[in-house]
Amino acid sequence: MAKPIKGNPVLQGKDAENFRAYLARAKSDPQKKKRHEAYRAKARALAVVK
Amino acid sequence: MPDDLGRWRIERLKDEHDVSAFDCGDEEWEADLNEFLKEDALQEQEDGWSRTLVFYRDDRLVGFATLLAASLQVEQAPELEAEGRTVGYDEFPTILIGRWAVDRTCKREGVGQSMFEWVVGYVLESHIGAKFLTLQVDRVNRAARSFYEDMGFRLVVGPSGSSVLFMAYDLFASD
Repeated sequence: MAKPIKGNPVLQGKDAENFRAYLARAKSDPQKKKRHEAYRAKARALAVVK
Repeated sequence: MPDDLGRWRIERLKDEHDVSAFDCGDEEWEADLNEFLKEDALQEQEDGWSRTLVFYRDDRLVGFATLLAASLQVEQAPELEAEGRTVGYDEFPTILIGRWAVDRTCKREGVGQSMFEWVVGYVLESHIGAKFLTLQVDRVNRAARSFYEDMGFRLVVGPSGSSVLFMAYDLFASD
């Protein structure tokens, strides 16, 4: 049996502080949005076979 | 998957899939991934813990991704700010990439990137909110960490005593 999948850790202390700082400075990224539009088109064109 | 969508097929793992030949490598974490796909993935899926997608290129199994719903909790954050706005949550909805592997015979061919791009599109096209993709990677697996950083993941937790690193990909913003 493989190791169980680990869930996300709760961010605490310095990790939480760093993450909050990231969230505060992060902003919408037009280039990323454009790339994601292309990825979404691929996902629509290549649907999962269920 | 740049312009060769016709070569690809993506399926939800089923018992009729022959995954016996899949081999992503010999390292300890790679052996664990091989074992997960062959021994555990289907049962975990049937029990509702996770879903595994198998990626075929030219009718050959080249990789798999196991996804599950999760949340990312930030302790002591009564007033989180994101993208310049205060948000009323101390947990972010995420899609956790629980397992991710590319067959050893097609590494460095862009398979992982193609899979990643498709997964991002798939999650964004779904009708379930998710702010981040998250994952954990073995500290000693430098190649994987480098790959995820190239894809845009950031290292969120890497305590010196831990054997795993925690990484997140923001689906909506960048710094």
